[in-house]
Amino acid sequence: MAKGHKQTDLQGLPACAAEFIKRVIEKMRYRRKVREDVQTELAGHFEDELKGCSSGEEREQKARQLIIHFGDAKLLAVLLRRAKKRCRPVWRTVVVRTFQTVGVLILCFILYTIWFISGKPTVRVDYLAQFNQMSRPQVSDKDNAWPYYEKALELFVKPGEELQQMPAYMNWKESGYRKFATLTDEEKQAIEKWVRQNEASWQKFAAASLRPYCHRQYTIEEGNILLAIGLPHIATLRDLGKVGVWRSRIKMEQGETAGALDDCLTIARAGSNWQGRRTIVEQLVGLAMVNAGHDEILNIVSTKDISAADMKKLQQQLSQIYQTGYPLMDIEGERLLFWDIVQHTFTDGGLGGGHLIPSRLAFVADAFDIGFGSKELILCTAIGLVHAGRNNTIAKFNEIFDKQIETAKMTPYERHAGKALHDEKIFLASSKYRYSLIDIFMPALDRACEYAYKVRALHEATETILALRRWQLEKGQYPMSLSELVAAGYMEKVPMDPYSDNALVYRKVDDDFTIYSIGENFTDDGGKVLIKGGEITRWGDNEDGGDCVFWPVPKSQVKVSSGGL
Amino acid sequence: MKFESQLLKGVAPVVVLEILSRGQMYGYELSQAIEERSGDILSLGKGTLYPLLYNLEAKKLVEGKWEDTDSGRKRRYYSITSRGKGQLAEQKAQLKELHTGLNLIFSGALAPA
Repeated sequence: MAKGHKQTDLQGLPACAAEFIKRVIEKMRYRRKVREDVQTELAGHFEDELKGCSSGEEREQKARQLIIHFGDAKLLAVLLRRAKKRCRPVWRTVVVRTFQTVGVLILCFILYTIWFISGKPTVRVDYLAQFNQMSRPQVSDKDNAWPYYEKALELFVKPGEELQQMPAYMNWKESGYRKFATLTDEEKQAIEKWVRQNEASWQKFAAASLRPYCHRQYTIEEGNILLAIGLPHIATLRDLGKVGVWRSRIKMEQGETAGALDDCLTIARAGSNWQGRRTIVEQLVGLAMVNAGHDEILNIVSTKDISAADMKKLQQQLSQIYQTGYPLMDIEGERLLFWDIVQHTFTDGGLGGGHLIPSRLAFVADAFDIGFGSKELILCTAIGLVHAGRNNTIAKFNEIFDKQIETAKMTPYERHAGKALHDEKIFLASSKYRYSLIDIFMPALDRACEYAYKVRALHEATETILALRRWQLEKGQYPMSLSELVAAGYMEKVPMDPYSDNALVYRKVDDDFTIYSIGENFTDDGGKVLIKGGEITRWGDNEDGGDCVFWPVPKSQVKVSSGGL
Repeated sequence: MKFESQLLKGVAPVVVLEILSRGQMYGYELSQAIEERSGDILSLGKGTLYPLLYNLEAKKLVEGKWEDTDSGRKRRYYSITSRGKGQLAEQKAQLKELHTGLNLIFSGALAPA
């Protein structure tokens, strides 16, 4: 309140009257302008009442009586405030109420955000133990290949810097490098040296590959999440696969075809050890090894004369790799990985079972480099605020994941034919922000699952090619159809094409034959491979077509883009 | 005579509107007029007067405006609005009815001497 104005109003009034008015005005607790007006009015009233008093004493006495008439200052102030508030124009009331409401909401939001941010996760379930239990086969430990792999990894010698820079090492998959003789002397020496250095490691690797299964106990660092599961063996396993490939090629050059094929079988067998229930990464590396082993076998078969007996033996050895059936991609472990992420990023209990903690989301995002992190804490908080609660998140994930497991079992053709139950991206389209965690961490498994089918087709095609070659050696010509092979006992069943759900396409061509999958465009392009940018796109693609030709093996100087090591 | 506050509270707005219907007045003047014109029977408590005026103003039954006086002091004059006049007419009619009814009940005992 303007002090000057106030004092002017009260000047000339007895002290008790001035004090009374001041008290009333103070207790009114309303807008200054209104209080000034009320003060002026009350002061005027007192002055008018006291006008007739002749002495100061009389004024004082009358003022006291008047104060009694006015009643309690506090009550008067309350009545005046209420009445003045009613005088307020509607728009002003609306504005004031709006601001008050917004203020209260902001305050509530701030308090809620503070509570929200300060949430802590409670880690109750040991998903690592569950994952280890899940991936452990119910068989005797003595058949476990892991101790041999572990020894092989210990003995492994990394390729030197010089070798790593050599084109032969970097582009080993290219058909131009498949013959050891085509390498430069420098490359030959470096590769031979590396293969020799890893002889002991290779022997353990080969011994491991003969075991029926491999179980390795998974570990994570204290306080870390299951997604950060340690897989330090993976890179070395891949390198040992490369050692095997070069061993085989060197033996080929030396005319040791049987030894070369043995090494290829070792690679394929070792790869199969890493298929089945374990991490996706391990399964993919296992598949890549199986793929590489089969590619090398086909390469040898296409360039060397192999007897019918050896062909039969090789076919039997290949069949034994998947005696108990070919394992498709097993994604069940991914469910535990996600549940563990939820456990580490949500509070436990409360509304909806818990809420997403922004700082934990930032921590996980930082750890896995998913495009944002602790620097974007506001973004993490915003995600947390709109995100579904713990129970709903888990329920939604399970719903999607159950369908994904069903889809994973389908061949690419079944999915293409519209039998796929779901596409998680479409599933989430309407609620992407509510389920950001699923959107971020739901693994993209379609390609991985498809890859398992591709390798199965390669495996069956390789067996079939061996059977066909044997037939030709024994009967002088190739059969008219694959069913003849089966009928004559050369094979147990015809090889299946995952892109047609029919048999792989087989045709006699002059004195040779061709066998292929119709590839990713689901269309028979007549056994024509797709070459893009000087590189064979092994399985073709949807835009430009192309088939995946297993035989004849491409001999042109082109790269083959496929899932090798 | 001291009236029950609730009894007076009911008629106070009509009384104020009636007085103001005869010309604009400021607070003190109004309280004096009520006492004078009621023969000192009605006396509105000072603590009631101003809240009452502000409430009537909020209902747009009276209108207040500041005017400068010769002494240089500002005074807030209240005058009845057209809505106030309508309200006054309505309430006066009701009071008349009430008066008639009360007279009948008390057999003329309430009639002025």
